[in-house]
Amino acid sequence: MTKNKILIVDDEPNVCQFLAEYLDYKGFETVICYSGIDALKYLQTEPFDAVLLDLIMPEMNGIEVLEQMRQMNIFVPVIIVTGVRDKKVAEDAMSLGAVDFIPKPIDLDRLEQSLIVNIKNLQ
Amino acid sequence: MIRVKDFLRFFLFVSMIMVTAVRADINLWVMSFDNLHSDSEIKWLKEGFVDFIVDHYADNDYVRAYRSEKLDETLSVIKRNPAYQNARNYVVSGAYHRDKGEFIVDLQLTDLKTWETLAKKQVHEKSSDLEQLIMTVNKALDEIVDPRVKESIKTNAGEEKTPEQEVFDVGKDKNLEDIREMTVATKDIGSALDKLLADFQEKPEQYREPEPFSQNQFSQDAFTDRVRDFVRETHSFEQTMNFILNDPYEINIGEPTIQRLPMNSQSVLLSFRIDYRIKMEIVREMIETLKIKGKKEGETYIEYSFSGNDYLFTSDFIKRVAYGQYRYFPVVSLKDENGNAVSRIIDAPGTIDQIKHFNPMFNIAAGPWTMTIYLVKGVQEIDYELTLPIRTVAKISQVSIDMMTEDEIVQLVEK
Repeated sequence: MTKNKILIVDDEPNVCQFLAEYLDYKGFETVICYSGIDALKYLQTEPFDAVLLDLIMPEMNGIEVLEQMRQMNIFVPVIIVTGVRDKKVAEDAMSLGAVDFIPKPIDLDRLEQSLIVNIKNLQ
Repeated sequence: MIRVKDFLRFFLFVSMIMVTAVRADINLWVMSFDNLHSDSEIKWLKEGFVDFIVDHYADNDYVRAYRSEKLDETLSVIKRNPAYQNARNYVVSGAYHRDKGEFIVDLQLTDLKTWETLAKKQVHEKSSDLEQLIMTVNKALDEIVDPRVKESIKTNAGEEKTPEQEVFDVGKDKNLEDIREMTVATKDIGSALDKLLADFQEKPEQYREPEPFSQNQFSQDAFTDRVRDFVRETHSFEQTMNFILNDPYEINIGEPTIQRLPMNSQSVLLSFRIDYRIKMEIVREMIETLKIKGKKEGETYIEYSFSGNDYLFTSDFIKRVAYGQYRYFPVVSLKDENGNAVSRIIDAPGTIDQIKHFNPMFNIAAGPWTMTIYLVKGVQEIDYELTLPIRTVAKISQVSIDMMTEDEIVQLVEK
């Protein structure tokens, strides 16, 4: 059985590693990248089942990544994982196509549920 | 074919890990904290919290905390090592931010075996005092770790500690006790030396070239037993300096080697390498929270200058700088299993048994109107060599390093 492939986008290496190890344990395949620009490169060249996207990143923030994904017609479920708890930011992200908004520190059970539900919805 | 050298190295690696690993019922693997709002003024706390937590559990009988730089490597170390596998391994992750002057820190404890989130806790600290914040975070972590310790004790009830476990609880070097606690790096080398000596005595006819050093192979972050008793505020020059200078060095102790002496069958040449480096990221971030007048950076150094117009440099502080009370030198002690020094290398100028290798990597030059801080980049690798009787080497169980001022070294030598 093929594993669902998740792109983890966060400029914090520790957050990426933690999520990658957890998702690996839960049976997902993961790819890590540390910037929005790299994330867009990956998304143009490889298929992913979902993206975990941080909002505050240098060079290109999460909202800009979402905007670019829209312009490039890349439709992959994006789950925002962020320390920003601003309702307005959450609404902006959702209006740009994000499917869920999970605050940091991350509730791992909630993250797993969100991935399962959103990947299933897409299929 | 596996070469003898490789085998020896592998054996040393395994034995080192065994000695250092069979310690605690619970291992906490502490990851860098997440600076949630990328707040540059408090960025240094990402690593700072890890240090504080590792220090906090340094003397705990049941819990041992380690820095986890890369989680995949941590998992691999646990997998390879039965001693870690037999303990409970939890990862501590955390995140922090400031909101309206209040510090908010989230802590999370996750079981590395099941990836179950065991506990979460959020703490709020209104005080701007760093020491208070550290205490609050450590207390919160205790609250989520303690129930696991109780569980673990219950599970292990009736089991006694092995002698190997007891070795870790070495007493303090009596000679240093009444100066101050300052050991900044410790490493158990007893098993390695026992093996080397056994091998050595079994094959007396063979002359062995010293093994090449492998840097940092067994090093553990052992910045333990430091007393952090300064009142700290992030924006006070003197207090920031005190805080940095309390623990500025990262020290790794390399593997020991012994070499036969051609003219003396009763003694051997014991060698080991120690790497010194400044904890550059933390130190630089802390300095850069201050108002800097000038900064020069070269390949090997960073120099900061501060103006008396921005800070009041007290005459007491200037005197302490002038008297070298901020210049630390290493005192390397080879200790027996009771923690008593059987031999000591004082790596500082002006002492009786001096050898001069170490150059301080953090220097301050002070005047009433300007203050200059000079940081040396990179690693200072120093190879120490001692000729010792074989029976003395057989007693050595641990090497530890104390960073001491010249005054403190004089007191130590006078004892």
